[in-house]
Formats: sequence, C-alpha cells, structure tokens
Amino acid sequence: MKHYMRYALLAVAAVMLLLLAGCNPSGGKGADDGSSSGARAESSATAGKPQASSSSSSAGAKEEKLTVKVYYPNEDGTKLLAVKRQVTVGKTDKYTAAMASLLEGTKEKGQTTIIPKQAKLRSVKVENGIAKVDFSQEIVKNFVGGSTGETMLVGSVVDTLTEFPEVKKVQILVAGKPVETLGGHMDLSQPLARMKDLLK
Amino acid sequence: MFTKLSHVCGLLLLGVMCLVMLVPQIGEAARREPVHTMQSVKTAETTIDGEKALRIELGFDNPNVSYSTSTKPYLQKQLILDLKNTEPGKVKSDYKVKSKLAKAIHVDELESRHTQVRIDFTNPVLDGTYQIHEEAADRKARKPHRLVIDIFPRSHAASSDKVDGVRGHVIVLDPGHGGSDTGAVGPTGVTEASVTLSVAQQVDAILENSGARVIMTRKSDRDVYGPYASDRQELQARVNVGEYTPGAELFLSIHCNAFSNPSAHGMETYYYGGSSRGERLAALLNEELEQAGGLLNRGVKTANFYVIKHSSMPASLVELGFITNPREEALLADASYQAKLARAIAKALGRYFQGD
Repeated sequence: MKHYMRYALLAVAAVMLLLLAGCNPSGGKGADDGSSSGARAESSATAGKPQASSSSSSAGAKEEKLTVKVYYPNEDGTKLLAVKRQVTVGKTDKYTAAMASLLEGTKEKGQTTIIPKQAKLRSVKVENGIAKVDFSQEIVKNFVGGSTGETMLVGSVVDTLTEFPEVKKVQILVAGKPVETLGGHMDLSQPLARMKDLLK
Repeated sequence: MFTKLSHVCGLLLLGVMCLVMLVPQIGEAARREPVHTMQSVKTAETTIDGEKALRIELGFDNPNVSYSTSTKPYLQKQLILDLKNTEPGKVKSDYKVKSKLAKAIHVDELESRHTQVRIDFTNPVLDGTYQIHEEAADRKARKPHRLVIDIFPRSHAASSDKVDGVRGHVIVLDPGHGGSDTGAVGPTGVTEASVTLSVAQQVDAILENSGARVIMTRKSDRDVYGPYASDRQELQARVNVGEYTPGAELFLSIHCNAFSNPSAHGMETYYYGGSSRGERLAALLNEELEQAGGLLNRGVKTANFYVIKHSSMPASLVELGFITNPREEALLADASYQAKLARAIAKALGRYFQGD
C-alpha cells in the first residue's frame, strides 16, 4: 500500500514538473513574469545613475545589460580601485548581479581579489536604504586575516553596494546571521556607511 | 757541483712544500682540542634571580667545549646546540623532562664527532629565555666539566631593559588572537598569535622593569573569553580586561597584518577616530616602530576596530608588519627583531606618559 502511495505522489510531482517546464519557453504568464517586471521596476527607478542599456535578448525574457562599478583592492592593500563590469539583470536584481560580479574576483594587473573564492553569495536585500548582504561561512573560514585584509574585504563590499545611490549603508551577514566581525578587528555589528577614505 | 746544486734545490723545494702543508695547520694546531665525550645529561628545578628556572647540565670529560646554538622559531620551540669535536658517549638519545619550561632533550651524533643536542622548550625560544655558561669540574661534588643551560619562564634579556616615563602607570597589553584563533598565518606557517604574544611578553617585561603595572589580556596561547566563543564575546572580553582594571590608563592591542596579495608590506598604527589621545598614542607608536623596525610606514590610521572602539581609555592597535609577506614574516618570527619592536613600543608608551 505504502509503495503505491509513494509512486502515485512521484507521478503527480513528475507531471507537475513537466507542466511547469513547458510553461517557461513559451514566455509564459506565470510566476516568471512577475519577477522580471519587478526587476524592470527597480532598474527604471534608478535609470539615472548606472547606465542601463536595453539588450536584445532573444529569449524574450526581460533581461537587461547594466554597467556597474565593483571595487577591488590594489596590490598592496592601500586603496580600492573601481572596475566597470557589465552584468545582466532581470532574473537577478542589480544588487545581486553587482555582488556576484565582485565575487568573481579579478585577474587584472594591479588589482587583488580579497573575497575568498570559496565564499558564496547567499542573498542581497535592500530595505530602507540598508543593503543586507549575506555570504556563506567560507567568507570567514577562508579569509586571509589582518586589519588590511579585513578593511579591504569589507570596503569592497560596502563601496560596491553604496555605488547605488539608494543604498546608504551595508550590513554584512554570514550564513543568514549578523556578524560582529570577520577577522577579529572591525566592528560589523552596525550597518556601515560608504568607506570613502579607501577610494582616495 | 751539479749534484750539490740539485741537492740545494731539492732541499728548498722540500722546505717550501713543508711550509705550504704546514701553514693551514698552524692555526688548527693552536686550537686543537681533545675530542670531548659527553658524560651525563641532568636536569633540575632551580631559582635564579627569585624566579623559577630549569637547569640542564650536560657533562663532558674535558673542558672548553665548543658549541653553537640555533633555533627554528617558526617550526619548533626548540633550542639546538651543535657540539663540534664531541661524541655523545654513553648518554641516552632521548630524555623526558618533567618541567613547565621544557619537555624533552634529544642527543644525536649527526656525523662523526659532531653531536647535536636539541631541547624542546614549552615556550617560544627567544633571546633571554635561556642562558648558557660553562662550569669547571667539581671533584668534591663529583661533577664533570659542564655546559649549563638555564631556561626561564620569561625573557630575562628584555627585563634588563628600561624606559623612562612609565613608572607608576597602569597599562593594558592585548596580544591579538590566540587559542582557537591563530590569527593570520604566513607562507611558512608563522602564526600571528605567536608573534603578538611573544612581542607583548617582551613589552610587558620592559614596562614592569621600568616600574609600570602591566595587565595582559592573555599570557599564553589561549582565548581570552574561552575557546570558540562568539567574536563579540572574545573581543569584549579583551576590552573588559582594561575596563575592569582599576586605574588602567591605556589599551594597546598588538597585531600582525595580512593581505591576499603577498606583496603588501609595511607597518601601521590605528586609533579610533575622534580620540585625540588615541591619535597621539598611535602617532608615537608609529614613530618608534618606524625607527626601530625599518619597514614601510603605511601611516597612522583611524578604523572601526572593535577593541579600540569599545575601550573607554585611550587605545591603539598596532600592525607590526605583514605576516603574509615572506620577508616580513621572517622578520616577525625573528627573536632579535621582536625584541627591537618591543623596545620601540615600550619607548613610545614612555613618551606618551611624559607628554612628549
């Protein structure tokens, strides 16, 4: 009896999956539409600052290319350098896209990757001018340490997100929880404003 | 005639040859020592200058044992004595030591007549944590010629140092990291926690010797709050050491810097923005550390660092150098370099209290 129930459930689940999968390529009017219109609303709200360029995405999804600025420390960890990156927004919002781009790291001469490559971005949420960016545990576990390491890591995150004018402050979370520090130096318990002195 | 000449020539040649062969031996002959044979390895607890110490006596059959010492500071807490022209004789190859200062003694004949004695210390082997002297045979006490190694719980060299201006002042020293948190780790494995502790201990010794009262947030390789506490608990525990010490006037946190790019290098000092006394403290520390350490000066900076932000007294955090930079890692692990930095820090604190 139990076996039959399990198979029946599996079959129902499989049918539902097929139906859902069928919906997507046909440019469906389901849940997908809602999220992309949300992204559109966000990018139009800030169309002034980061130059949005409409793209000719063939799939018909509402995806746009956007140029964002991400920040990497220089080689000796004395300041942050702005790097322009093209990201795709639509499925993901611009904040997440910018952070994901930052986490890709850099291979450019003169720039240094400071966020451990094992660290993953869990989410970025912006509310009331505060961006809450959530990383996986590896951002602590694989962190190189040092005052300079910590300042540059936190600075690159904060300055990349506060590049969006509506983001005033940034709070760093690890595995969904607020943290007091990453490497034992900086006090991260309060949201941080743009770290301007790292951009000189 | 011809034969006589050839005789003279032959003699001359022989003479020259003799000279040539003798020359390098003249020096050696003067220094030629009998081969030493080790007779005994003995340990005893003792008291030196009112402080408990461990005495290790290596016995030999002849006086004038020639030895050289070396350490591998970042690999082992081990003092190595190389004894040239010495055979281990009948001493054992390993001795266990029941002491808080050393764990074991190893004796090996590395090659013919080259014996190596290695002593496993409990604490890092630093200048002034041990002394070696030779003692002549004492027939009445039935003691052979001895090489005596005294091991101290803390550096004696540093404590002979003094600085002006700190007498009567109460100072909190915070060796960064420790215990479950090694801090940053250098390319060859030197840990930030071990360097900060070693330097802080030497600063402590100089300041105490100069009449100051020093409170250390930690005196060994341990967490201040407890292992695997939250970061806030650990950092606040360090701040609390200062906050709950009556009369504490100054909080100094000692760190080594790190970066993901090994080329980053140099020294820097921090204070919490807005604290003018903190700024002066950080500036004096910066000046003395630059002069003594000779590294690139990255400046006096402000930062949102927990321990300096939450301390109610003037506070500074110093980054001695980059442990992730191979050159600076080696310097930071070097005992005499650490001693230089410790002296510089103590001097800066003296200047701070003197209102310099």
